[in-house]
Amino acid sequence: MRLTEAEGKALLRRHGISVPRGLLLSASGDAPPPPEVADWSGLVLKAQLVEGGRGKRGLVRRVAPNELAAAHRAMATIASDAGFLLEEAVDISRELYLALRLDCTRQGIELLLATEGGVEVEQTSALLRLPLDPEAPGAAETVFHALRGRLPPDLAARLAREAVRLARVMIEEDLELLEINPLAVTGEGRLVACDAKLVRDDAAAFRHDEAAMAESARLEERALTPLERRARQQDFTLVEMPGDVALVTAGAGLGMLMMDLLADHDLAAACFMDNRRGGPTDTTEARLEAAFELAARPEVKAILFYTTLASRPLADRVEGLLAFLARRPAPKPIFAGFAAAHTATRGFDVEAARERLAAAGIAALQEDPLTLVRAVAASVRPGAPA
Amino acid sequence: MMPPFLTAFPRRVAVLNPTGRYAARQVAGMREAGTPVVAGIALGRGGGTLDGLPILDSLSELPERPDAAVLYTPPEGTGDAIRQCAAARIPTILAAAEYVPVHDALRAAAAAREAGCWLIGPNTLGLCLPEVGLLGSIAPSFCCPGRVALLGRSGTLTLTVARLLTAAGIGQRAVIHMGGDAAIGRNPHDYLAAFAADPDTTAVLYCGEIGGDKEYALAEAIPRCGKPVVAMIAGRHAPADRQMGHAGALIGSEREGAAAKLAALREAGAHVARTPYEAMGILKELGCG
Repeated sequence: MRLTEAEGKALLRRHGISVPRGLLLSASGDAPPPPEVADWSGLVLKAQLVEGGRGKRGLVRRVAPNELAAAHRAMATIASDAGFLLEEAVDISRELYLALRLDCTRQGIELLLATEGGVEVEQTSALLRLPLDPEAPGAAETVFHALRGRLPPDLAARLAREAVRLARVMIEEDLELLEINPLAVTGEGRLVACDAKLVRDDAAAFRHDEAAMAESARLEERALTPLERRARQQDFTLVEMPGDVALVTAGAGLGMLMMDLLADHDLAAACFMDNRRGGPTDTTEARLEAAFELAARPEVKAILFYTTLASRPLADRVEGLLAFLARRPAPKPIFAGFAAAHTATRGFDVEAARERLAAAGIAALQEDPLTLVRAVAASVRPGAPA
Repeated sequence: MMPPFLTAFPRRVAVLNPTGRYAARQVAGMREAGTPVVAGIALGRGGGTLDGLPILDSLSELPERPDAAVLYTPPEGTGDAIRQCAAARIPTILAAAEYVPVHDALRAAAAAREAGCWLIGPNTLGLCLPEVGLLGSIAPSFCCPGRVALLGRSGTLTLTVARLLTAAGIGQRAVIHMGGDAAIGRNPHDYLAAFAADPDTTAVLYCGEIGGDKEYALAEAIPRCGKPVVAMIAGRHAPADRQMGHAGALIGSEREGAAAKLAALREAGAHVARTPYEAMGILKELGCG
């Protein structure tokens, strides 16, 4: 989950990382400046969206106290559902860029540094990249040596120590990405994180305070379609896409293969599905429900159901499908396929199942994904080349 | 490094947390396939049995060190369990759980590597060496013996492709689901180096997917392989910036998309295929099957 800037900075502040003073404004744009900002050297108002490009959209503005209410109202018309962070403007003498990302191929954290901050900094060729293990002896020295010649020694030393501190935060907070751009060097020589993009590993969410990322979760939820939201509540992932075939699969790789095969036949999957937490939870019925709902749309022409079973009983899948069809007739032709291993078919008469499924209106029952997709294509686009 | 299971298939397999419904089914499948499972390890259940398999509280209670551990430990405990197995110097460690926190997985992967262990997963269905042995839940009936090493990042795709290869008469030296998570014990280039040195492997079929940059490290290793590598990437038509299921599959940048990866693999000398069917055609032209 990508954290909002405000929640990301609150996290950094808890770890002693310097961020500007700030407070969240209430929803109304008519309130006068809160009293605590009276001694702030300047004000910056920032809409709390997780998409990039806020500056270009006018959603980050430096304002005078008497302009605050108007700016707040103006920005709320652009981003009506956003929260707003009011921060003290930082006296910046230099901007740096610092990011920590996971390099899962090298199996460690990678530090990215640029001696100039800015919007397009990720593209710059001057980006310094080096592995960083914060627990390795002399980690800060390693970073310092890499920075030698690029920054004055005192700043390089401070930055090196900050990078190691942040790498520890990254591990402790289960972050996949921690990007600070700009990392300001103030007139007094302090490092202050003026903006922060933090992405937390969803798999580790259980060990962190849910309330501390409530707004980020709200924004993530808001970005989903109603069907995607319902799928999430039912413990599976659904990605809705413009398409003409409602695709029901289990497993990411197989789902993507089916999407690719459909596209190769001039068809497009209207959805992609996968388990949310893996393991034994059977969400077949909920998936079918979602697919049938999509298939009721005029642009969706067929339902494709395909699954590979290594050990889970084929009988459960077939009976589940039949029971579902008995309750709810398919709104469009349904094409089903199963690739079941020996252990999944034990004690089960596959031929009998084939006949029962055919009687229930399953237009095809193919084991081979390509044959199945060709059958869908022939039905949806008769006359098109196979 | 050669994976230990490739030089001598494990003869003493311990299964951690074997008693859950999913795990118990996989254990039954392994035992039916002839995998020499010697014990299950489940804290608090020591002294019991699972379909005749003795259950112990701890790995340390085994009279002899196992040469493989298969972990059905829940994701939040998987990192610790891997590190425990690494500390016990168990040569082959297979971690099934999906959704292991990525920093746990990285720490565990480093521990396993430092201990000289070969970690498969997390988020793996395991591996099958046809007519040799099974660890995990790659259906042996989907596989048949031969000389192609099949490496997959996604479990269901690995199963599907194994089955298609078998149906097409292309036998496999190994069918390995390396793990669907972003951080896994051994990456595709580690496996490629192993199969390059394996005298029983003629060609490698790599089934990758969108997301991450593992294919670039693989591409760097291909010129040193000395054997034909056939590669496909699932997700050619996946939308950008949407997580396609498991944690590995997200196009974060153009470089992580299928087109860029396929181009890099082609440039490195791989035979690139759009689909498993094209891959099978190439393998047949290469004389495999």
